[in-house]
Amino acid sequence: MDDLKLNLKKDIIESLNLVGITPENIKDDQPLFDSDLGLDSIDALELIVLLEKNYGVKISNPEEGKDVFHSVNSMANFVEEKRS
Amino acid sequence: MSIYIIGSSAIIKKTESAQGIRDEILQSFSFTDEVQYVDFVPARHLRRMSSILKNSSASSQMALIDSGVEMPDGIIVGTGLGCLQDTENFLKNVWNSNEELLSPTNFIQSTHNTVAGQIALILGCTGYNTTYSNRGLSFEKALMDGKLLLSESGEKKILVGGADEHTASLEKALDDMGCSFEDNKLNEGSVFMLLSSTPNENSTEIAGFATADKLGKLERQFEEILSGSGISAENIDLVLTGGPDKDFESFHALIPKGISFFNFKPITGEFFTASSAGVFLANQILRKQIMPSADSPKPEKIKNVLVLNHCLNTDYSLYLLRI
Amino acid sequence: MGQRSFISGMGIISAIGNDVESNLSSLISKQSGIENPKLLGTQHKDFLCGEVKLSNDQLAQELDADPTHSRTLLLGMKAALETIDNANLSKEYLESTLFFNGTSVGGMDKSEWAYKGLTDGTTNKFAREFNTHDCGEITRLIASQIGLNSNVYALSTACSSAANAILLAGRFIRAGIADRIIAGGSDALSVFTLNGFNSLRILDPDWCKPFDANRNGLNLGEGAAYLLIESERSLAKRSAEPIAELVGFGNANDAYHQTASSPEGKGATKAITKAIESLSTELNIDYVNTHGTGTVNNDESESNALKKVFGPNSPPYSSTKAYTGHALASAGSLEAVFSILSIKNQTVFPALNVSKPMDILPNLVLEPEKKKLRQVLSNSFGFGGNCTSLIFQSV
Repeated sequence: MDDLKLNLKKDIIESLNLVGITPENIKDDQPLFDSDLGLDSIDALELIVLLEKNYGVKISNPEEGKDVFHSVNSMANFVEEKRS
Repeated sequence: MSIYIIGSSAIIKKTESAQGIRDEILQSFSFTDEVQYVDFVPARHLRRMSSILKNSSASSQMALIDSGVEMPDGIIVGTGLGCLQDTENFLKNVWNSNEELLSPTNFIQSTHNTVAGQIALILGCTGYNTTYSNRGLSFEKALMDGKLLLSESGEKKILVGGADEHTASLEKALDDMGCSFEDNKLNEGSVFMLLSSTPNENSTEIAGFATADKLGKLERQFEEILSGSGISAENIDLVLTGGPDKDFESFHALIPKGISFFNFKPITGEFFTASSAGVFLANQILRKQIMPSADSPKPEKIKNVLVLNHCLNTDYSLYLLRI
Repeated sequence: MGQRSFISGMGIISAIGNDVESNLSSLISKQSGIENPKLLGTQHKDFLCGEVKLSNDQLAQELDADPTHSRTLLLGMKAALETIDNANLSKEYLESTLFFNGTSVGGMDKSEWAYKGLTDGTTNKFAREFNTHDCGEITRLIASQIGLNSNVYALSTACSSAANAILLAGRFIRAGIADRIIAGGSDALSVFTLNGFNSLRILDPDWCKPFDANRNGLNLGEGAAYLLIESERSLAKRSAEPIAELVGFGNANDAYHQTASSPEGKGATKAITKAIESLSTELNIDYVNTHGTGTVNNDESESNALKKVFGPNSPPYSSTKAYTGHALASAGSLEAVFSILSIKNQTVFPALNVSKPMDILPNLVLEPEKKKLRQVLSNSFGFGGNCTSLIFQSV
């Protein structure tokens, strides 16, 4: 699970081009949206693509994404759930 | 109706060929490797932006700061190829992934009007907003609309700009099309000016401008602009050209000997909206009262500057600026 | 006050017909043109589109043109030629008639395949396709193929491009700068745009249903349409009859988001209000041809804007995008033609595929109906916050 979370953080940073941010800067339970990270609705769409491309899990509609992308924890839980 | 440039800014990529130009004039331009973009665009938007978006977002605000006006009443942009890098990136991904799992950011930022839209978003400007994409006359169409808007609405302040970006594919494509960049190297830049129908202490006037598909057709329009401005060719103090002398030979015959010609393309490079950089340069020369070339004799007062440009030997434009 | 702007001719090609008459017939008989794409070379044949039913070969044959031309160019030529014919604009007037064209893709339908060749290494050169890639060149080519004035204006403001071209024409005529302008837009479907909109997740996997409470996105479309906009003095010179008048226009920016509209429809409200304020005559809007794409966002935003402007008794309204799909840059001119057809035939056209209308506005038109129509408002809203509204009046 820890590996998954670390990979998610690295992928988020790369795919959203979060310049100057390292995995250490992102806490597992930190809200990704409405926070210092400054993510917005366009980033939400990017994260949907990221999950499908790199982790093989699909989000069928952007509304579902709101809960999934709350934090790295919720993303990791979602991936684990879908995989099992 | 007169139109005045009451504030302006130009951001270009530094070229290696800017020589023989007075430093005070060269430093009127801002260079892409020196601009602090974070001063103008929040980091959360900046991280996604291609160079055309960064440059236009910054130069538009720098023009406003220069003018002392916080909010324009309208935004009009000319761009020959729009957001080319984002377009190419999206297309590359489309083909590489066989149309699957595509990142939306490149697409969102690929439309031509993203430049004008992004500026409006940053400023919170809800006024008139439009984009022209007319190859080498994109800036001229934007300017025409800006002039019309001023005539319709009196005291308004309209932000008009030209922006284009350089990509490797563009260079290759233009090369395939047989375009020569021997004289004018391909570059990228963004120029914005705030226009008003009333002058201020820093403003320069665009006394007239014209476009044509052949240099010969510009000559007649030149005569009309001169007579409309109440001056003759010998009142011109400087001619700025977007290319070497051979590209504008017939104008050498029209302008009395002794009046300096200065080619601005070694500084600005070539891009579809590079004429805007020539207009910017004329504006700065008039404001600073400094001739661009260290060699050229300086008239007592620099009052009238003519700008001539062409793009790919087909889109010709001419401007008369004065103070 | 300035010269008045009259419409003296129009032309159109869309998913519901290859000319004005066939488009009208489809609108009245509720015949949609949205189906699985047959011509577009995409993997996503499952996405319903409003594809024009003629292939490039067929278009070229009809136009006696080069079949390897960009589809945007061919569609534009077809509609522009119909406009000239429809207006009885004789040859002697062509060279002095300006051309204002809105396009978002330009020649992308061709250049995207050239980029493919570059990407997978099968092509080394793509000069020809790249040469007609940009909006400016496509616009110049339509004008030169038809014989119109070479001093063209190419506008590119996404989904409001053609509407802005018509607006610009109205301003030129009013200012007395020009007397005759063919204005509108052309956009062909492309793999680029289909995949682009899919990446935004705003495509409806089924047939779209604008203004339905359970709407689910848009269907893309393609097409071209133009109006010949003429001053009174030019009409008199040609002894030509107008079919409608462009009496109001407004352009504003939403300044809310790169692609989405503000939920309360700020930009839309401002554009509609500016159009109304520009009226040199009494306000008598009897019908609204909305932008109505079918996305959750647009239809809510636009409904709120109309409610803000007109109050509780908003005029009857509908979207024609369930007929044609969203033809992007050309949408504003397709719908300008439909607005004028409404006026000419004193008929409102219905929204299709609606089971449960949204509850923000009353009067969603669900059947074609004869109605006294004095003025029609036509809205076009695009990415980048661009909002444009046009008001047409009967003559």
